[in-house]
Amino acid sequence: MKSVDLAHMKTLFRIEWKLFRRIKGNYVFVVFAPLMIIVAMRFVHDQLDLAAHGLNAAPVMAATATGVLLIFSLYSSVTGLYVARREELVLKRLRTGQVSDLAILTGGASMYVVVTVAQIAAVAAAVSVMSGTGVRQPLTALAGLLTGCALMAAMAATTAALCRTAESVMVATLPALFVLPMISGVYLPREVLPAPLGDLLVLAPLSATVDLIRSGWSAELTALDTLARIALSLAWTALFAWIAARRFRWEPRT
Amino acid sequence: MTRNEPEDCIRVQDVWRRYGQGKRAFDAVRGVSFTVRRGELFALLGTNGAGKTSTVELLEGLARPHRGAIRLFGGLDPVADRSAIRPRTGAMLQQGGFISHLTVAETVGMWADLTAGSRSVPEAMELTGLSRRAEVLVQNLSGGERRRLDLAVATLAQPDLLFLDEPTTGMDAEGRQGTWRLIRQLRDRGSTVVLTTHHLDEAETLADRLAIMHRGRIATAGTVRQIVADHPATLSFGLPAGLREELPPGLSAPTPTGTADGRITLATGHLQRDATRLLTWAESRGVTLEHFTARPASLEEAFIRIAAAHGNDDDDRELT
Repeated sequence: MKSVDLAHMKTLFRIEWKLFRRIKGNYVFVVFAPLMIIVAMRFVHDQLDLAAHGLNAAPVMAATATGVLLIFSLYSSVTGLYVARREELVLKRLRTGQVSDLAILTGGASMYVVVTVAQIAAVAAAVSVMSGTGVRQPLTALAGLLTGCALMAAMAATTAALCRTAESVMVATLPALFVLPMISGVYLPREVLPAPLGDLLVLAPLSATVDLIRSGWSAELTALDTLARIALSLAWTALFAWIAARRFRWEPRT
Repeated sequence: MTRNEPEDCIRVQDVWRRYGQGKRAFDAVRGVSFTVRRGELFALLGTNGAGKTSTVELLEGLARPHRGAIRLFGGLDPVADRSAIRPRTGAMLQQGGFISHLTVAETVGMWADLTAGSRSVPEAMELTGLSRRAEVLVQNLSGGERRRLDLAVATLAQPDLLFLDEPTTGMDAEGRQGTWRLIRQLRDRGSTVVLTTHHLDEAETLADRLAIMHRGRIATAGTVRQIVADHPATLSFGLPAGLREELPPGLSAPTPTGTADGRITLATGHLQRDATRLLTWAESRGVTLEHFTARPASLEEAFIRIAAAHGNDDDDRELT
């Protein structure tokens, strides 16, 4: 990516941030979503008896919160952003200028990446304080966060490619909002599922991110496992990016 | 634009644009060829759905032609060489494409940041008459004001090549004049301009050359003078009732094409000759031709005749 692309991304980030700040409800969402997640997770995990499955609450909570925020704050928002900007012909207009396609897509999405990362950092800090457990492998957690953000942005572009209108975003994102967290260990740790199923679901799109975040707190992955999870996440990202590159629509269907 | 570039700024060779696939395929542009010379203002006219915007979008590199070739600035492909072309072009889409919740100043500012060599935001707004609307949200602008905003953005830099898709639609008379003035200034400074418009007077006033598209094809092209020369001129006059059946012999179009309001209108391919014969006949008979006018065909008349002449030629429209 060239320096001019970064400058363009910065401009698009600034515009989206300006628009985001104008809607007061967004402040409520940014602050209260992480708090609600923490409260909800405490309740659910108390029911699950994590210790019986050899799990520690802090890593599971951190991974769950990260997964939920990646899906709802990043994936869902960026999908809506792409479709809304396409319907307004903003994407088409931008393509008549000097901005590259990659900068158009990443520039707008970067604002939601920053918001999501801030939310995740807040939740992680809260989890650490509540559990008295610090991050043991910060690089592993960081790798999980970065690969997760890239994966969600690529998935959002793919989903936007499938949406005909802004109204169809709700339906198109449903599988990712409900099925993806179920199969990736976001809502329920895969350890509580029957072993063969849990082992299979390690290959699900967001599982690698969940495992990397968890290992950031628990240090349960070996170096080889860590690299394998990163490679898996990147492979999913590449697949979604490949689909998006071929199917993404820059203007409404005629 | 560099001096060693060829005279042709745009070369379009047998270009087709297809929407959809299979049985639903529809060819909006069908074998269009033309060139636009450097520094020229070239207008694309046509009826609704003629393929003007589809053609311009191909030139802008927003879509690939289904068939044929387009080359800009001597040899650049609008899609493959986009990064080389974009810093030299400006574009005004048929519909804006702006974020509705930004103000005019914020929108122009955003585009100024995204455009190398951009003029200042106040200057851009001043040039397009938007200074007083700087703090108004885009969603609250009138149709004409949105077109002005689009023009402000398209002309932020001094583009070598400017695409204007119906730039004055929805504008009031003052806005149109201001837009025409800015377009002329850009052309005078060396920009090549491709303009699509429904307003024939706009094309007649601004264009060096023009092409009239009809149902995906170019029906005719040339200067305004060349295009109207192919169409009959008009002789119009009033004649006392008793003499209407006694028009002089030898007129190239002896049958009146219209007699509205008691006036006789003759279509002629030989304006000077027929006008002379008519006046000589009237003089010799001592007849006064009331409100006599003789004028060549207007672009509007040529346009209407072309549309009518090609009105039934869509049977061969490709639906493959």
